[in-house]
Amino acid sequence: MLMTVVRKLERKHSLAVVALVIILLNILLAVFATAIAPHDPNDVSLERKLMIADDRYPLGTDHLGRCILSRLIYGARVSLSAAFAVMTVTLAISTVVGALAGYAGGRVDALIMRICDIFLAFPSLILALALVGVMGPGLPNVVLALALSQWAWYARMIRGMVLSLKERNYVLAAKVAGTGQCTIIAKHILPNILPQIAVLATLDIGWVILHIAGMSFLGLGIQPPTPEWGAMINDGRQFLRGYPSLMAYPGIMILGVVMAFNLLGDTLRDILDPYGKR
Amino acid sequence: MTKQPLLAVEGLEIVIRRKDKLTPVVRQLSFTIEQGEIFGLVGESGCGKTLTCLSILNLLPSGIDKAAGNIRLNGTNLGELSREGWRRLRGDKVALIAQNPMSAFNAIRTIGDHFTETLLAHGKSDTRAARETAIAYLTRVGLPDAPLLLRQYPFELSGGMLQRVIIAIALAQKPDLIIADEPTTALDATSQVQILDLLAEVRREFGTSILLISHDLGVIARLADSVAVMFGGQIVEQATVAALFAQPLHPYTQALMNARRSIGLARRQRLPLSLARPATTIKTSLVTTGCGFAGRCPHVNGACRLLLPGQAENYAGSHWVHCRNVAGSQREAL
Amino acid sequence: MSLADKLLELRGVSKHFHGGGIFKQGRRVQAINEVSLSLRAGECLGIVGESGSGKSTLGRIILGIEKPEHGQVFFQGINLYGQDRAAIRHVRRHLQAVFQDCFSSVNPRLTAGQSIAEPLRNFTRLDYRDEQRTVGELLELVGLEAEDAAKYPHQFSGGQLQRVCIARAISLRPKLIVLDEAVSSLDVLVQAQILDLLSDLRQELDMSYIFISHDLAAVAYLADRLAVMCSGEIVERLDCIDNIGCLTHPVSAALLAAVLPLEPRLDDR
Repeated sequence: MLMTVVRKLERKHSLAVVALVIILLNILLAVFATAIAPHDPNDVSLERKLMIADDRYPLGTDHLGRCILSRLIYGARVSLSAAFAVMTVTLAISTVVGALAGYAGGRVDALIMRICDIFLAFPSLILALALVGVMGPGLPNVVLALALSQWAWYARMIRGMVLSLKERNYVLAAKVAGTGQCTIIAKHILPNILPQIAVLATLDIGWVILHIAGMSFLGLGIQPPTPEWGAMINDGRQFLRGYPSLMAYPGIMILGVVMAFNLLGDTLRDILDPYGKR
Repeated sequence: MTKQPLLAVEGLEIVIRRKDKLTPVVRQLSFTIEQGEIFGLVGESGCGKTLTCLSILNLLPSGIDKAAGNIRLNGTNLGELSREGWRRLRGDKVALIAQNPMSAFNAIRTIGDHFTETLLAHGKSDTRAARETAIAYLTRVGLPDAPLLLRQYPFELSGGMLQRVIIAIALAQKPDLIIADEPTTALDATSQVQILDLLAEVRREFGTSILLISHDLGVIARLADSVAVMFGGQIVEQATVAALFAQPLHPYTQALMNARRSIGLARRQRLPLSLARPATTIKTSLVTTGCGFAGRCPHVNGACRLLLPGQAENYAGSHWVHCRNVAGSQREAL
Repeated sequence: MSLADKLLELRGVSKHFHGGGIFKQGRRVQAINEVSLSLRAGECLGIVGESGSGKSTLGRIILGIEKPEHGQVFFQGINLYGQDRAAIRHVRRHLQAVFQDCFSSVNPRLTAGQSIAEPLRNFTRLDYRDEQRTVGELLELVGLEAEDAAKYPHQFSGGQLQRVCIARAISLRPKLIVLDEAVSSLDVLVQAQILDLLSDLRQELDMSYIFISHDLAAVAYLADRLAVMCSGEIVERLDCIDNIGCLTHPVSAALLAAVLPLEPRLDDR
């Protein structure tokens, strides 16, 4: 099934192939950072600060003499793993809650939806900032805060999808065949909403990466000296006039990865939508 | 002096275009419909009857093309029409009644909106005149309380009522030809009878010709004047309704009749079905050698699988059949 | 006839819905009103009516998946909506169904074999090989081939997929199958084949049917007895299907008249 998706991607959407390549490259960078990066990203040396690109330092050094390229590569590891962690936690919470609300109906559904309403009433960034402010900075707290600000939206979507599938004939048929409720949800309902969730999640990863970067930029997220693209942009702010590359490189990385995920998500939706343009 | 037929289809060929491979789905289709005639097209799902209607309206989906053939409406060759010409033709001269009435409506607009919008698009002057026309035709098709109906949404009406609304909208254009594609298949039995009777009345009163598509011979018997039986993209038998029901010649027609009869009300006279084997493929015979029906025919012999059924044999009174085996014995019997 | 003799019994079953359009709130629609009926083992009862008569709702209530507001449903003596969960689960295997639209009656992501095996997995402990063998036998029983178990629903035609649904329904050798418009969306030739199949299976496996449809002809093919529904009530009953010409109620007459004969009408041409 994965192979047919990839083949369809190649045939119809060459831009999406580019996107896929970008994402895969970033994942490779993240996984093999220790092998690929030319230098230790935290290797401070004030003598080498603010050097322009040369053979030893392909993208130059930042204001503390650290190799920018190495920091970008390690930054990929931090950003991507944090983003995936956020999506995983979000989907875990929202799938359980949303499926329960959609399938159970009645008062359980009403209660859960009111809780969702409370979470949805806050703008997500404000909520995330507030949570981090309360819990303190650091990567785990950032992941938790972003997940808590997102789960309600997904829970609502999943509840809607479960509702629409609940009355399908094959669910009725499974009930008549004696299948238990949990098995029905796991075997008949969830697999049929998985593609749509995959599309939504892919489109959202870009958002998550931006927010992680944003929070680091504000000093709330990843703490120095851990390399992270948003923090690098923040660090480079004071040098904007003389050395714009300190901000430009991490900015380009964020731009590239976010665009790539958005393109991929769009294409996935086109492929998986049976009534879309063919 | 013979009048020219309203619709003349000659040698129609439709193919599915997939990756440079062309698969024929309709082959050498020819029939004519006279003014004021009801012409039935019978066949099972996948035999190409819907594609035939769509090609008359030039609404074939992408990937499916008309490869050959001529379609003439009142003498005009439809192949030469411009886009503007097609726009004027559809709805005005040729109206379509589709199978599922609910899907023909926008669920969030009222019936009245839909009706008046259609009328205005086809030349009616203003909303008030359109509304009055709508009420007149809704009443004509037997719907009670037309002004109330205009304010209702599609989901508030039953399938039978929606189908009547569609017929009313079609009639308001005063078309020469109505194409009814399985108009009653999605309705329950009592609505079915009412819609068929309504169509008969429409023909009586307005003289409109109707191309009636169905998989059910009972529907054809009730309404049609002549009938063509389609299988695997070809017409295998064609006759007036009286002649066909009196003496079905092609094995497929006979099987259809038997199936229908055995689900009749007189259980004791159940006839055994002549087709024991269920169809094993979805696409009914896109074979290119031999007769398309060979796989399911009880009278098949070696020649049938290799050679096409040959020219249509014409029997007494324009009863045509495409079958090698009918040629011999039954011709004498007639 | 005591309770024990009847395979299925409904007593005074009623159910209503809140219907109406977007702006009509809470209008009560009486779907089923005080319906009582019974079925003996080996019988086939036909329930006919127009759309909106409540027959599908009745079908779901009989199957035990829609709880009525009033009345009881007894299957093999067990109250389907009672408290005895264990007993209800025990009889569940003997009460199966075939629905109208075969394409939405199977999970599009499961193969035919997996769909057919679902009831078996719920009630029996077969190992993989026995399960495969049983599925193959079931497929052959309904006129398909054992290799079709690996196919996905979209690879079948309508008639074939309905056979798959029938194979699933008979997999546990149930005592009663509810056929809810099981042939209505099929071509006439395929309808005849499926009805023949159902008739043969009934004799072979000694089952009872409740056949719900708007098509009186299809029902008459299989049924021994008849109940005519209109607006949620049973308006006429017929104990012997051969006397079908004796139906007197206007709704029955309309349904009779709706069975199109195969003789062309020559009067108004």
